Amino acid sequence: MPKQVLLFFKRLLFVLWILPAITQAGEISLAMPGNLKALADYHSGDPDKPAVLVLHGFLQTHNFSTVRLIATELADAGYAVLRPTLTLNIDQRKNSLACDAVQNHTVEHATKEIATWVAWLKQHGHAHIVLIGHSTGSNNLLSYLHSGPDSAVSALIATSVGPMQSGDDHKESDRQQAEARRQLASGDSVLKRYTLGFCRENYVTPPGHFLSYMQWDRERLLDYLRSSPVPTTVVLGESDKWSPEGWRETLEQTDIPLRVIAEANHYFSGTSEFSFQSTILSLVESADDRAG
Amino acid sequence: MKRRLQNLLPLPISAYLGGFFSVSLLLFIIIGGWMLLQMNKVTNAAEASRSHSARTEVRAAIDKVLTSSQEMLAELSQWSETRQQLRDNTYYEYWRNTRVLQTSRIPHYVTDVDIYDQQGAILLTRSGSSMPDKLPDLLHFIDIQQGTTYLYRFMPIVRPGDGQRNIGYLGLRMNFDQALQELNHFIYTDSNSLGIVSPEGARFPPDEIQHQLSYLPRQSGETRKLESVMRSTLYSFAALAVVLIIISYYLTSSLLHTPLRRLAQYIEELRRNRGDISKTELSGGTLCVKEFDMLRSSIIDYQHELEEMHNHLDQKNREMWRLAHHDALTGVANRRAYDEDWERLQELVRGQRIQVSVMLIDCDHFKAINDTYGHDVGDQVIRVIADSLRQNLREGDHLYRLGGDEFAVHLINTDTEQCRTLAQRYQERLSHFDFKALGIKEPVRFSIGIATAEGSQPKQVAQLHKRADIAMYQAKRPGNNKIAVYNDGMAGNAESLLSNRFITTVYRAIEQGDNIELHYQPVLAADDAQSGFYETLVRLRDERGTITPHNIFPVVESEGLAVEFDYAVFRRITKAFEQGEIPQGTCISLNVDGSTLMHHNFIQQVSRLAPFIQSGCRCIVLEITENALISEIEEGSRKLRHLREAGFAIALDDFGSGYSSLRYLANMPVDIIKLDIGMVRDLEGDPSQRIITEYIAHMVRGAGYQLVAEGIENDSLLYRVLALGFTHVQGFLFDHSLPAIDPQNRLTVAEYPRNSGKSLNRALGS
Repeated sequence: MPKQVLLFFKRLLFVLWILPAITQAGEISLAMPGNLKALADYHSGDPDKPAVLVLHGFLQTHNFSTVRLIATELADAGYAVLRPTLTLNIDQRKNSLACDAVQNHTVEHATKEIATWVAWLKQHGHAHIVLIGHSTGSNNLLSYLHSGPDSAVSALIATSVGPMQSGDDHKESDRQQAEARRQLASGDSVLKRYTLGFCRENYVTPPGHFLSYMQWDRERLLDYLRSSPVPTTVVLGESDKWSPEGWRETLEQTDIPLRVIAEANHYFSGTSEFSFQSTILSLVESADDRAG
Repeated sequence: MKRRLQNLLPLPISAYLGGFFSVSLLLFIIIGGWMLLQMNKVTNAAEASRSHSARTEVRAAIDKVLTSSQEMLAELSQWSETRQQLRDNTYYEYWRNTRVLQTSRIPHYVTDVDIYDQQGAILLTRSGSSMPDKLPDLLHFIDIQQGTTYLYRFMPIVRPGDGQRNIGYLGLRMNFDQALQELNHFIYTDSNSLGIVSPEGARFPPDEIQHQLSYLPRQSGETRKLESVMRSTLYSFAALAVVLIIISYYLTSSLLHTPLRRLAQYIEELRRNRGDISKTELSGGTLCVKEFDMLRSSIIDYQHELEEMHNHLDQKNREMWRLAHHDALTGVANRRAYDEDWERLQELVRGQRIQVSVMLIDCDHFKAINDTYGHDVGDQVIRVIADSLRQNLREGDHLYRLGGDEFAVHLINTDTEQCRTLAQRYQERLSHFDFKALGIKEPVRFSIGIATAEGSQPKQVAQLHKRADIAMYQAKRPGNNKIAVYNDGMAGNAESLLSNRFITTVYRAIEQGDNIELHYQPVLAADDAQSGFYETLVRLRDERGTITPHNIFPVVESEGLAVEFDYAVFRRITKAFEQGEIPQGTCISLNVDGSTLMHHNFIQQVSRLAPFIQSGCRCIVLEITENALISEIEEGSRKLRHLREAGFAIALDDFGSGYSSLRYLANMPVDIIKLDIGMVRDLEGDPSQRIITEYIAHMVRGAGYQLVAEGIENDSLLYRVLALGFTHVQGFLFDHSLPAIDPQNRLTVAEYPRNSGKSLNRALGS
């Protein structure tokens, strides 16, 4: 009986302590390399739980729906959640970037910004950090992990992760990459139109920047996943049409932990949303357990 | 004004119709003009409203463009890609051309965009750029270039979250005209009319743009339609009114004016034809309006009736004229015809040497015949006279009945002797008629007066009737042969008949009585057994002297004053009694006219003399002519009896001169018989006449009456009457009328002084 009363009070004190942290949420900005400022949404959570950094996909912002879905679920579960927006070399970028906008950014730029945000989390007392990436965001996080991640990072959940490719036509993709390399070699830095991800023939970027993304092909990705320094789990939608053909099967043939959400699309929207959320939560909790 | 207007009336119906239609047209013009004016007012008001709305709309449109440009620039300046260019303008041209100008981020009327750094220098200088290389002092202006209005707008680019630090500028150039058209949907403004009035190269702040814009209000479809409808309605109304006026005029003219004019012409023609319908035709055939046709029929019917009435009236007029100009009893022309013919005759003979004669014929004592034998007999006598005279007229002579028993004949070209011959023929033919067949026992005689003058003496012609009358009067006088031709010697007597002097005097006598003088002629008793008395004789006095009875009584008779005159005499005698002019104890007699006897007030009037009757003596004698008594014998007898009972004595005057029947005498309440002077004279004439007189004297005396012989002018006659038993005598043998009574004289033959120097030819006074 005395133990039960003691446990009650311990929990009550925890709630009273954690409540202000839970309610601490809002947009923050953080200076990035290159005299840029990046924006993010931060939700403080249970300090005993790992902080979760949720990164958006290609040309999106932290307000993208899938990212918000993940963040909300985790925040509700008491986790501190940081949703940064990559600047893509645009100061205080708030909006998703159009394909034909000047894509003056590279994967390396993103890696640096992720490192900055992880450092910021650590500075704010989060000893354990779980990284969750959506789509290309997962690629960026893998890039960060392989660039020497902070020790506070304990896990990576790569949702809808896939190789970067220039369309479905490999030959065309190869041609564009070859052309880009040639231009880069010739010192040509003029903007060109490429096909990258969902940007079909309208991704306007210098050749070098194009190639920085195109490095993330299937082999490199599998390699980075296998060799991830932190426990990494891949979550795919069963019906992800953006996923390259045979990618899931490829993953399934590896020992990379893979969760496939039934009937889910690339964005896990619709009826698969709850299943996706519970999967993410369980994965984070597992990571917490491992960290704990 | 009103009188002048009345002088204009009546006007023809065409004037009224013309006036009506002129007024209608004028009213229509006024109403139409007023409607047009009102319509213009409405149109002007709508125009003003549209202008105001257009002005407001243009101002709002300008504001919208300016606001839009402001918002557009603000959005663009806050765009992260814009700020990106300030960090790294490597791909500025791509950003400007592709990301800004070639996308739907900005409308196509934004013709240029450029970014300027903090110092106001354009990020990328381009040749032929429409944007200034340096940030202008005026960040907001309008520029007219090649006839196009451009809006230039510049705005600072601020880095968010960094103390709103200005990191550069963004500028754009906008085709203002195009923006104005595309950003706005003009309702009240004609967008095609929008234009700038500023000259090429002009530059001014945007808030002045409204003053530099020219535009026209849009013609409102509804207003235009309404105006069009109103005008159309007005014109339709005008056309309709004109058509209606024309139709009305035509209908009024053909249905009202023309029929009325034709009817008026018809009536006028009828008047010219003196109502002869057979000669009058209605012009233009049948009238098309039923009512007018009915009116025409009514006029014809009325005219027919009028014609019948006219004929009837003509007939009646002729009858009336005939009745007016002819005597109903005899059928000969009457007094009116006589007067009219006489006027015409005078005119006809005026100045001509033509003999004109007037012959007057009347029946002596006709009144007595009428009164004695009744009016029927009198009428028969008149008819006999008329028939006789008519049958004996010469060709061209005209016979007239002037009234009563008086007839007249106009004679032309007939000298005095011829007239006399004609008169004798008339008399002779009349005398041949057997009046006894009519029950008249007395002889019927006729008097004829003739007057002749020449047409060249119009004054004398004018006097012919009067002269013939005088002559006839003369013819009636005893001793004449009943035919008299006027001569100037008769003028004196004639003058007396109608003299105003006498008339005035007679009226004065009746009214005042102060000019009545009483004269007295003694009626002497034959012996002492009887009482003599004085017969009162009337004279009138005026400024010129005394007027004798033969001048008085014609006036009295002609003026119908017998009753009034007798009453005046009664009053005068009463006064004479009262004043002692008639000595007490003196008996008098006075003459009473027959009409006075019959007057309803006679008893009362004459009774005023009763107080002067001494008891036991009938000393006031009332002398009544036999004709007066016989005409109303019953009434007259009743009154006379009453007077006898009152003490009066009654004398029957001029007995034998008229037609009184002896059989009535016994019933007459008389005391004294005064034998007519003619019969008295007969005692000295024809033996047969003397015998009749003697017998009558004997008979009267035998009946117990006192008998008076008048006209005793000589001893021989005196002796004869005394021998015949006359109780009283009277005449110039003894005395004329005396102005006063000498009470010393005894009124007996034996004692009264004789006046043998008197002429026997002097007429008696009464």
